[in-house]
Amino acid sequence: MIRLNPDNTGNMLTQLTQVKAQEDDALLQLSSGRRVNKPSDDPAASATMVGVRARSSADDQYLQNISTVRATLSTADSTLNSVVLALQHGLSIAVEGANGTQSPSGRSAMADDIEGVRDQILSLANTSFAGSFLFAGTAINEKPFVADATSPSGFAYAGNSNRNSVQIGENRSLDMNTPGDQIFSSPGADLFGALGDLIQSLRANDVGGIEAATGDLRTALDHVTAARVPYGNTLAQLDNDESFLRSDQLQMTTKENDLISSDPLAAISALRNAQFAREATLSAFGQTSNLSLLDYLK
Amino acid sequence: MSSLFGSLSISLRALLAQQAAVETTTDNIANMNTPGYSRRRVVLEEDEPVFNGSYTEPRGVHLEKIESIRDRVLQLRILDETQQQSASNSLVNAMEPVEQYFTDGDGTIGAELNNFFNALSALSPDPSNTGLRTGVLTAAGNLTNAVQTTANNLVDAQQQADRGITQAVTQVNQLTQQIAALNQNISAKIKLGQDSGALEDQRDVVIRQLAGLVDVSVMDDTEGLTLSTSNGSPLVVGGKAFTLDPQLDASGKVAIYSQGSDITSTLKYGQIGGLLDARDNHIAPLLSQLDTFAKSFTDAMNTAHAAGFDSNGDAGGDLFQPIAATQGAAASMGLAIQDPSLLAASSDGAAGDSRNLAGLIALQNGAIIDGSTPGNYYAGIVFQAGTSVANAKAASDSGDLMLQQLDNQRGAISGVSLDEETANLIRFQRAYEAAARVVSVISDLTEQAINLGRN
Repeated sequence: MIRLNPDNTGNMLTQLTQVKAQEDDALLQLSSGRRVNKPSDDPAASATMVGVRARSSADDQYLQNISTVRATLSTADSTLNSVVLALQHGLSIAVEGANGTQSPSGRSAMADDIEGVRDQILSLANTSFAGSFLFAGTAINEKPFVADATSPSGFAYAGNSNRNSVQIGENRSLDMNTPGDQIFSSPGADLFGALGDLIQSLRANDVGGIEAATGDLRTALDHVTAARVPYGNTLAQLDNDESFLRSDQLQMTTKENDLISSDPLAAISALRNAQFAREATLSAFGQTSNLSLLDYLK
Repeated sequence: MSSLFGSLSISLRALLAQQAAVETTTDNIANMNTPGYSRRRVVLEEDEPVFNGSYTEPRGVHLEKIESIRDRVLQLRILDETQQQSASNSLVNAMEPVEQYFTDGDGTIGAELNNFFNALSALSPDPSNTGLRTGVLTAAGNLTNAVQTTANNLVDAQQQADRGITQAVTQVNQLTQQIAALNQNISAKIKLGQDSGALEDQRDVVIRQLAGLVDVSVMDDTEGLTLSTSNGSPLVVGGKAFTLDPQLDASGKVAIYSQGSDITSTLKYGQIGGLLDARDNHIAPLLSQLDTFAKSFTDAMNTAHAAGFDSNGDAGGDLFQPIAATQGAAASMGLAIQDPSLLAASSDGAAGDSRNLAGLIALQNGAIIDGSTPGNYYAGIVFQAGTSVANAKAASDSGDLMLQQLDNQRGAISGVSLDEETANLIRFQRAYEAAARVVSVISDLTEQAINLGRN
């Protein structure tokens, strides 16, 4: 007959320690809501989580960037809209001024009106948002259009011709601005030049000049209208980018749940099992350990 | 010729033998909870009968010896398992605090890395914003702090292991002294033909303690027990103990010398083996990966930063303090600029340009550290820290079970069973009573013989 180890306390203690460890583990999972509380709980999931965290926090930041970009682009877009409206107003005056029935004094008054339009557009071209000039290229601290007697149009561009691009997603950046010289004073569509010519021709009562300036103004209007289009497109794209980022965020949350969250039902049942096993072990130990042959001797 | 006195002599010897058996049983019961005690058994032997010319006359019983029941092979397996188990446990204990530094959460390198890239990204739409520029420098500072703190914590963990190793070596030296003394006593007893079971039990206990500390291999020869480490460096040879000597090596780490030679790399088991394993094979690689991380990250960031222009329109300088050597890089990682205007966000020198930031942000997905992105490289470190602990824990758990099983086997062979001892007690008591009864019967018989022919 094989002799058994007469002392079973060692077995019992090993059992109890194991069951207690399972119980603690289940309790920790329940209280923390996480299956993985330290890297050794699941090294692979912990390593994957580094990437998930990076991506979901980058998503948060890109969403914030998008709202900043949107505010800036919307301001630029509505500014250009105002420029278009002002130009249309100026153009209607110009068409009227070219009319042969106008008196010289009427044209002079129209020149005053056009000066008003020019001042309005100048101030729109020099619009700043959050302390930065919107149409100065990347030289955002320079007022882009300033009066300059040496310039044929009477105004000089003080900004630069660079575009800034902003990161709004992993591998996704977009142009933040169109430099002012490409909107307001591009060669062949010089807005201030056209307005200056118009004013001069009105004052000089020069119908041919008025007509030529009106044509230039129309070209400038088309140019500004065209310059507005990328802003609108970008704003529309931002909506797509935002919804992509939001769904990516959701995906990252799902992934996080899959990787490290505990399943409460499984944790509760593991806890129950461990508690039951511990009670059973303890009560079995309590009952058997007292028995020996001595109990049956007088 | 048989005689009444012959019978008296037989029963007297029986009384003595049963008494010794009862005593042994009592001893077993008394020591049933003594650690390392191996149960004793009396070996009774029939006395050699004497041929008296006409027939063979029985002589009764005598106590041949009292022997300890032990299995030496099992004992060696227990020692082996104890060494491995103790190494795994020490490894788990040393690495558990270490993996905490890589646990997902605020303030870790992973979190600060994200914060840094997010701060750069936040600055991108509004590059002249001083608050956001300061935010980038703060986040960069937090990142360097996290890397530094983690590296320092790893170095601390190595020093902690070294303290443990030094203490364990001191214990080893005490235990080998004890074993040498026990060896002397045991061989003296054996020479005198005395039972050395009690001393051997004691020695087994001490050897097992020793196995918990360091590699031990046991060789039992006629001259006594020889203990050595796994590469053969002597610990105890018969009655002589050989000390292990902890010394600091060039890098300030503890190295273990035996008889003047460095045996550190040969020690694999016991607490010392486990702590050396943690220090050299688990913490050291983490530290060197952090160094690589710090060095490559700093280099790549500085190169990208220098390609741009700061708020003053000047060419960008270093963003992080340049690091010359990879070794020790993590502990020395630091920020090179404090003034937010010196951050080179612009690539054309104008205030509203942030395209150089795009270059810095792109490094988040650039293979700049040993062929990996910073995040992936860090994830590799996390994986390694987790795997170290998970593997050591698994080894420790299975070792626990294995050791428990071996202890059960040892108990089955050497453990004291109360039921068995009680049964023996009854058996020996009955035999003693019967022998005593025989004495009284012979006493009656002799009395009758003396009175023969009286009346």
